[in-house]
Amino acid sequence: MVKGLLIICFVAACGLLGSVKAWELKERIVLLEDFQKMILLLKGKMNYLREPITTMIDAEAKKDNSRAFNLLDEAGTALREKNAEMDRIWVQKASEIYKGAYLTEDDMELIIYPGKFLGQTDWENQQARFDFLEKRLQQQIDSARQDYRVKGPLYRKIGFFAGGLVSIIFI
Amino acid sequence: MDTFREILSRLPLSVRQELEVLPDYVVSETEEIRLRCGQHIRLQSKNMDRIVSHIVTAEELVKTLNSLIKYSYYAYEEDLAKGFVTIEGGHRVGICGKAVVKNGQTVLIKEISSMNIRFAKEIKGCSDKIAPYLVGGDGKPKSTLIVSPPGCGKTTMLRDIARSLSSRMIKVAVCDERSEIAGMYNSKPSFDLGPRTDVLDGSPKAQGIQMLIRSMSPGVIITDEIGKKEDLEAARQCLSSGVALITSIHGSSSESLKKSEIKPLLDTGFFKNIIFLSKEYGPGTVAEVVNG
Repeated sequence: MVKGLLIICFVAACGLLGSVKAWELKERIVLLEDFQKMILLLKGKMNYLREPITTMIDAEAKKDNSRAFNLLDEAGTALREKNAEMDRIWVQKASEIYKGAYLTEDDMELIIYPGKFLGQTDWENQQARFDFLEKRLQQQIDSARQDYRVKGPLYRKIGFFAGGLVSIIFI
Repeated sequence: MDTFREILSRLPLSVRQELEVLPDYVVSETEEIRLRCGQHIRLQSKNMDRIVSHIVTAEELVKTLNSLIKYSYYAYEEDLAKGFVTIEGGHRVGICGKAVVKNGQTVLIKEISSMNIRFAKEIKGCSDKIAPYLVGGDGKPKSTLIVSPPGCGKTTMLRDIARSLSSRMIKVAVCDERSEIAGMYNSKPSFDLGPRTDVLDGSPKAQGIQMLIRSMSPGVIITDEIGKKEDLEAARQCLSSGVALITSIHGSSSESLKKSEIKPLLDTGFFKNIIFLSKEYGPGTVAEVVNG
């Protein structure tokens, strides 16, 4: 009976590990889509209202509590308080807010990218950079979805299967 | 004094801390803060030219501009191309440096070498001297042109004219292309323009005047620095709509007016009054009134 219980616990633990791994893939999609939503909002406001960055941030950043909007809020606050350059502030805040997040190196490069152009050029160039970022973000999101579709079920199944196999062999 | 502190809060700390310790009488007297790369900060007014010990660096000029334009070049690109930006409160910040030219036009100023922060002021009653000329015996406002060299108080005068006419039951509409007359911020004017004044902020004059005539049924339209050919067409619309126009132009004499773009308008007798300002007894001195 004890052996049976041990097997069940071990299989459940391995299955859980597999599910966590699958969840990380899902989480990557959520983070990227959240960032995309924030970028589209900024682009739209800039395009339609031509509002300065700090005005847009004041109006929008606190409407959502996600990482992307927190990044916007903290970057805006730091800009005003430290009167520093946007690229330095954005990189610093992005690194802090997305620390430990399940994102690839390519994902993080895109998250840092707005710091290199936001507010620093004329309107035409701002729009061109936003278009580039939007396109690349969509590619990353599509790739993340594909990963989740293929690997998600696989990780869950492998977790339970490996747990069962190991427990049969050793227990 | 609040205006001074408000602007100080936008300057880099290294510049701000030097200005924060100034005595109140200096602060209240200051009309301009001049920042020049490699030189002391200079505070100026008609009676004062005072330096502060701090020497301005190129980095501080860039940080100041970034702060004033809210880190958003795209939002101010048209103003920057003209060499100045207007910030909250209607204050004008002039910028000098290296011009970036595209197709024969300046599109940007980079390598900023100096800035001039000019405080917008409200002087209630400064238009009282010319008030009798602005309204006819029938109570209707008359089209008036205010002529003066820079720094003689044209915009301050226009601001007070808006307030004065608005208080006399006249519907006033302000076409504030550079956001200097009303200093709109969060939908409110920074100055008292009276109870019957509507403000169209940031619109080019030619388009803005047409919009105001069509939508706000004004008795008079007030706008600053008319001079382009498109502005003349808008002024003619006022004429055909029976709406008076009170506006200003840079100049110092009748001769300078004859050489300006608005000569065709002057020849039609559109303006019932031409008022020349000077600095002889301080900004806002009425040097001459010519009845059209």
